Amino acid sequence: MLSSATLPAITANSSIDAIVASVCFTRRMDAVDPLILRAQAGEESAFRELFLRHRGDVSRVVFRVLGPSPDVDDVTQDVFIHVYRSLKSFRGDSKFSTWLYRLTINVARMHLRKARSRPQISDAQVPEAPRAGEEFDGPDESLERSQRVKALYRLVEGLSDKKRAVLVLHDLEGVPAKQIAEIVEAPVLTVRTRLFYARKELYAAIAQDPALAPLLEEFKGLLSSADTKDEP
Amino acid sequence: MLHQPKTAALIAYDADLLSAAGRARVDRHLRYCEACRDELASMRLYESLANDVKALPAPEVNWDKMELALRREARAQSRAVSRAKTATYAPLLGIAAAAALVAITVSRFGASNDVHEPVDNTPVATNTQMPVQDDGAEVRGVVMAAAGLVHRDSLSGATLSVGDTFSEGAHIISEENSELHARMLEGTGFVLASASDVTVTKSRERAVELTLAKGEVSSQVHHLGGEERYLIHAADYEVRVRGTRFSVKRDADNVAVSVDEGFVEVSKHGEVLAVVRAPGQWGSSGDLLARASGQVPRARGLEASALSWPTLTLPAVPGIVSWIVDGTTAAAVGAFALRVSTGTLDVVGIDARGLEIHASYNMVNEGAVLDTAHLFVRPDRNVEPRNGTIEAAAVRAVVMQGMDRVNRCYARWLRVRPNLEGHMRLRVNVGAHGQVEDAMLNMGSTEFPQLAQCITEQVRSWTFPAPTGGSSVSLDVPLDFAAQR
Repeated sequence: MLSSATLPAITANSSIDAIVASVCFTRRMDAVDPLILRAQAGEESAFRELFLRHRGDVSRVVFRVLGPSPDVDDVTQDVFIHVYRSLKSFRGDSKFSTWLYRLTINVARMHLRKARSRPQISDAQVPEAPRAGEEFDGPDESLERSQRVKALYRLVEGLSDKKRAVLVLHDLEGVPAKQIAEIVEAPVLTVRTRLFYARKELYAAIAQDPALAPLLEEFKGLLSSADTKDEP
Repeated sequence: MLHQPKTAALIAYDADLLSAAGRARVDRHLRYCEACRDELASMRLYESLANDVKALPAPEVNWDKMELALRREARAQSRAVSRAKTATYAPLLGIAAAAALVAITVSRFGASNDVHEPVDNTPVATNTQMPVQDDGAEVRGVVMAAAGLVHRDSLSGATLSVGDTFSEGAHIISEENSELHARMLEGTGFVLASASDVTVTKSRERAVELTLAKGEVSSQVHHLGGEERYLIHAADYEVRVRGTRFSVKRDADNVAVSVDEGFVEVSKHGEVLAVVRAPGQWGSSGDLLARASGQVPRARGLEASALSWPTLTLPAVPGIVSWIVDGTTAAAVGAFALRVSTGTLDVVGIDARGLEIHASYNMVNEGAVLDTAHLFVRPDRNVEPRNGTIEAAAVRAVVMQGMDRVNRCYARWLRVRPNLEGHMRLRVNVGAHGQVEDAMLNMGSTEFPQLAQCITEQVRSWTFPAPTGGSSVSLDVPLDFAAQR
């Protein structure tokens, strides 16, 4: 039954589920890396070396989480400021890379959470549906791809934090499920289940998204033509 | 009954994981099942979109610009490490919030009949000659209220919840729209504001010290009673510590202090810069002072009996931006939990326009979780518009009258997706004569844009009473969807 809730309501309903995910970078460090010990001892040059060593990976993961956004620079910088301030609490209980990646995901999530809580932003507007027969705007493939990517991130935003984390790690960042399980401290089966339901939700969202409707029709058309070819 | 595509089977089919016979079965089924073909098309489109994302190069980052800021931070951290190595803690009683090079120390707990003066900037005696004293045994802080996400150690560390304890050395970080109330001793505690970072550098029976790295911490310190009263010597003066309430805010190297009760002494490198009396403020920079919060919040649960209070948990409720419970205010973006005494309790939720939504609770020892069904709007409150006003009761009547048609939209889409549930918020602009000039989806699920479109079309036919005091009103109408089982 549909019911009117209390009146009026304003802000976005942000999920408060904690993301406990992190991202697996290509480079691994030992927990006892002397560089970390030097930074913990207050050596300024060690902080910079850490930054140089990890900045590419951090910015890439920030980008994967935020999607196309002008805030990738700011969030990447914020990650390193948090690294500098929190490094003293790193005791080597886990790999530094795991610690760093968790921090990266959490800072990116904080940014998204902050953006959602800004009352003046109505970023959940229904996108305008393309007119009948209209293709994606844009003269070239890169613009079209950019629009498709934005459409996908808009749908990913609707997933719960846990599902989104697993989906971004696995499908967009290419991290194997076993590694994700280690990162999010959950059984592999749980990771696979979250991934399955995340994708299932996205399939349903794609089917209902007007911005993706022309593309979806193309894919349906491809299926139909394959049927025709298969006919005896 | 609508056929539900078997997603797992389609994934296996698409990944070519089926046997020849299984694949043939799915092929046959697909020829006659439009829903399954649609699902398969969505799957392949998703795969294509994911490939697009993977192919998209990460944007160029301005590393040079970033390095400047990070070099400053690295320098600050290096200095902090050096200071920590050489520091000998002065056994000040009360709470000392150290920020950058400026130390704010409790000089005296002000009695209620204190003469209130704003700020005395005259340098007075230094307090570097404090005798070394026994600070007593270590005490553990207890979380008495927590809103949103507050971490221990680092942002990747465990989150702190009501009832958790922490010891000396604890590093506590609050995220945006999150805060934490901690009890250190009976009558003494602090409130860590949103997006703040504090370390409990000392947690003893007779000494509590906090180091604020970022954000704001509001402290409340009561007299310790009996023989534990503490004296602070300053030149010829002897000041008796009774109690005080103040906040310290830090932004980079700048610090601002607000004092609501008693007074505090602000010192730098051991030299007292100012004595700030309640109600008064002091800031190392005018800008930060201007942004300093007005009233200093009271830390929750400092009463003797508070440790045995039950916990009330308030989940995030769409539309509500803050909670007020038993005098404690917290942001409502995430969950909020707090210790409350047993008995009748009035829970107040506030939306972004200041409208109050209430719930009454009879708290029992087992604790409780807020049931949103208990929330109600006080009927005598007006909906505050941008320009005009419409009585909330009148708005509600129109909405309820139009709900029948809205329900039909929902019922129609419920047939397409039987488990369709969720929340949607409509922005409704009402004109001078009460006509709906525009209605649009302002927040909520975009999974079913057709449902939103159907509903907004219905809403556009509504007519409200003409606004008073202005020519238009902008309303937000939240709708909750739940299928009847």
